[in-house]
Amino acid sequence: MPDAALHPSEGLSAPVIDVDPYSDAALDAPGAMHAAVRAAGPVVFLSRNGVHAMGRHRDIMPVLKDWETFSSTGGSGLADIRKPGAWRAPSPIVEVDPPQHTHVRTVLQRILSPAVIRQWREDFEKEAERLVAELVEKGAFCGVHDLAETYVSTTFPEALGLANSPERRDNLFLLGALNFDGQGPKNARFEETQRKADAIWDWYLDSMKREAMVPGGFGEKIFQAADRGEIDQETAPLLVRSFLRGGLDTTSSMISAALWYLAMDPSQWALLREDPSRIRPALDEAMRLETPIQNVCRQTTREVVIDGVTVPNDSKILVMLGAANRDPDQWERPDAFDVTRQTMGHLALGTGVHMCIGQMIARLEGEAVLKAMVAQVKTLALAGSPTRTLNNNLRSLKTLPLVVTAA
Amino acid sequence: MPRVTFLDPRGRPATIDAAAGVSLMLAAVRAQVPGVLGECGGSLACATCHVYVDPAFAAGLPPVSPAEDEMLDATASERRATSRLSCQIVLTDALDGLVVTVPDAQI
Repeated sequence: MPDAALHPSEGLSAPVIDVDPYSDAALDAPGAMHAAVRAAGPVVFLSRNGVHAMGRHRDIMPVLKDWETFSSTGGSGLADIRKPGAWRAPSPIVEVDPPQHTHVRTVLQRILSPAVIRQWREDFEKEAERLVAELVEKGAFCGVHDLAETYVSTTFPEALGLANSPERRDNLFLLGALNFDGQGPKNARFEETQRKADAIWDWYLDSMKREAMVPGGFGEKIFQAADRGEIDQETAPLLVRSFLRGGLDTTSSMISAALWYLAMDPSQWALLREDPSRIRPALDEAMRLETPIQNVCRQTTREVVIDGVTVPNDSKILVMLGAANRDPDQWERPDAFDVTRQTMGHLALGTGVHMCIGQMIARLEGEAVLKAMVAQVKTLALAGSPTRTLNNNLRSLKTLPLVVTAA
Repeated sequence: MPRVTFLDPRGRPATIDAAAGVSLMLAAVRAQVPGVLGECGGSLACATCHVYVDPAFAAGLPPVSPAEDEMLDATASERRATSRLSCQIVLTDALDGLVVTVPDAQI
């Protein structure tokens, strides 16, 4: 797909900048690092990581839509998964391009169609109402552990149909941490997560097998699609793997971020209580500001000029979704949480053919939680300072002390 | 600049002047037409920009792609012969005067 931003002529080479997106400081508060990337040019070269990077919204949008020039087959993270030493089985949905991608995406989109997800609404809302009632009774609780993570780790694995076990919750969050740490450099943070994950490796391998799927979940439907020959037999467990690794932390991060911003600003909470149809836009606004998956990678399939800067063929580009989502050239008051904002064009879920396939599940989970909160909670406030979990690519809160009064 | 009329489920009209070249969904969202959500931004992942197109304009519309056809099977309100996802209709001057009806529900 050609685009005005991509000219087949010579451009300048990308400015080299010395920022470290993976330092504790940048992961804790990435705003300054993002601003430096945006200011330096449409594409920069990160000397420490040896990759190109982009942070401007207007340049990123066409890149994500042009899968032919900016391929996903090199892997979603910094490492080129096709190279010797780094090789691993690519995700059959995230790390392939059309036409193979179109085929698998179509099968999966049918299994996870909005019509299917709508049928879960009653169960999801009932669970949210039950959990929120319990927490309102307590009065003070942690928005991450007690609400967002408890809710997501109950509803999502049930929808997938992953058999329950005492270790299921902790193991799934550990797999999420590993997945997203693994998209960054092989630093000490990744090594430590990998060490912890080694201890649950057998559980992980077993959990993507057909035998782990409870009848009625969408995991079983993925295996049934393989039985019908719609996808390869070996593709089915790899698709389940993608959901095991990417389905929990992201949604939980969105929910806890929404709770945090609402707890910080009573006027925004009032707007939500006044008109609950603002709940879904509020979730988009939380996704924009938090951008749970901070970066995605693409790899050039030819030499390409982006806004006057040449990127050589076969270059990995770190696409900074979090930087684009607060780009002042795109957003008025980019750092303000505003549930009345038109958030269309935020890139927290990506865009184009690889846009998040689980987004309707995430939206349903988030909506159920906030709907229950709006119905049962009158005042919502912070009871202390939140803390962050530092992960190479997943931005999320670790703790969020909240205090509420009943409606 | 094509003019488009959106009828709400009870038939009450809202008319907007849209820019040619943008999708009907984007035009509706920008003008804050109630009932057109477009949550996925046009990536064919949500089916929340469903509309019923006045049959008089059917001939001027782009054909339904296989991916749109799949998503039209998953809309919250019933699929009819006139159902389209408004993100797949790029407005042109030839579509000036277009009339579409917004369904009861999108989610």
